[in-house]
Amino acid sequence: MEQTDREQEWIRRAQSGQVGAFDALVRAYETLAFRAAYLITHDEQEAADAAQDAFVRAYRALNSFRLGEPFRPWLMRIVTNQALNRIEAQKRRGKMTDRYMQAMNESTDPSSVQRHLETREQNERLMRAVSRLKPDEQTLITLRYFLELPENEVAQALNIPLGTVKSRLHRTLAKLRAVIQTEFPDLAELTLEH
Amino acid sequence: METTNDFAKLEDALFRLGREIEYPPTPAIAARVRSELGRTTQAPIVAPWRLSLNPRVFIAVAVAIFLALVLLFAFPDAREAVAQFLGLRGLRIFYVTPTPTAQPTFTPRPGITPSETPRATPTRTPTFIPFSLCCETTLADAQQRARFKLLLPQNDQPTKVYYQRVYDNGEQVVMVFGDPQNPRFTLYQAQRWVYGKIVDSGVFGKGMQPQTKIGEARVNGNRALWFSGAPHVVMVLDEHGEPIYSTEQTVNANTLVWETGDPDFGIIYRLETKLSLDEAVRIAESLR
Repeated sequence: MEQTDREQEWIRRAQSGQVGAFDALVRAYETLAFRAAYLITHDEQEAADAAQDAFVRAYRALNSFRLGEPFRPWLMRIVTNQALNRIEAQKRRGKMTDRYMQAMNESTDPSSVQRHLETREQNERLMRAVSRLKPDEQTLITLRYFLELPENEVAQALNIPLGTVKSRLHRTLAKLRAVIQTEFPDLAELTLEH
Repeated sequence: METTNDFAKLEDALFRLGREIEYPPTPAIAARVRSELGRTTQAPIVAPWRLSLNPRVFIAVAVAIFLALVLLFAFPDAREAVAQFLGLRGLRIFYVTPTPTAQPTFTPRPGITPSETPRATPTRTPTFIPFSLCCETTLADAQQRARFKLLLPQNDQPTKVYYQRVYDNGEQVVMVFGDPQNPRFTLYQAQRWVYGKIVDSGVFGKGMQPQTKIGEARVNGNRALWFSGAPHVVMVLDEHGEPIYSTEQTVNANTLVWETGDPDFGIIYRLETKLSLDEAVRIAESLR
């Protein structure tokens, strides 16, 4: 059975009240949901809470989900909303970002740093540049580039037209480029055209 | 990868950054969700378990499972409280004590004495169907795929063999001996695999004994447990100790469980049978 077919079967059974089938859905997407929330909230605990809340909301709203539609963007819309709500509600972005950067550094294997020092420093600084963007802009970057969702799924996840995704991406990348050029000049090479 | 000429390098760098992010381990979201759903919503009716039982036994087992899952999922802290780990690292036992609300389920029917009604009639038909019927193979193939040496009883060959994996880590080989429709015994051999067994504590009324009896035994000097007296439920647990969906199976047989070796490479054995404990131990000790 294809993954999509199995997923649709889980949804159908979950809609009919089989909580075990929903459990299978959660298991299939918990890592993606947690990572998406982590990239948006920059906080492990907030991300876990956001992912949990998202799944609970998804369960309650499952009857509104139309069978045959892709589940991932539908779920990601709920996850990103939950994560963004937590940012706005708690206003701890600076603190969370610091912890996020610290966690990224601590999780780095020293030998790996030695091997890829240059790349890692560039990644860290690029992440800092991204963190200068507004939350909704960071969410766009997260969904499209970090989680590599196709643009049409990003559109579904954010509930906006595909054309809007394209234009927002363009604007966000332009803004990121400006941030890099002014605050992270050592990354300026990334902003050059091919 | 969709890029624009303007931002091609920047997009490449963002994709690369995304692939190199080191995330914290994913917490047990599924367990948290179950807990939250159990606390705040009415639990949906759980679908009947696959194996057919007579109605009274089925209801008893279903209620036991339901209550166990409610306890396990609704109160993560209570999981430890209701779980008793009896010394086998690959087996966790969950005792279930149905609450009084479950009692109406066991209301005696006319003509049946109260002492008989709440008791699940022990059956001595061994379960032989591995969960989800996955994946029948030959003994030679199973031995080739398994990372551990499969043991066989002396002068006996399995009539059916199944090879199963979970999370690309744990492995289980199931061997059916005798008539597949009515096997003498079924032998499960597993590595890096943790079973959970839900057994009824039997406290439907004061002074009543547990329906599933758990006894101590020895297999070649190794500690073993002997489950007998009533059906129980066995399932596979994941790395968080949570039941893996669709692995639960009702065992309508006596079961001998023992294990060998160290935590990483040790093997846990389950022998489900209609034979007696002595006969089961004799078979277990003959495995080579």
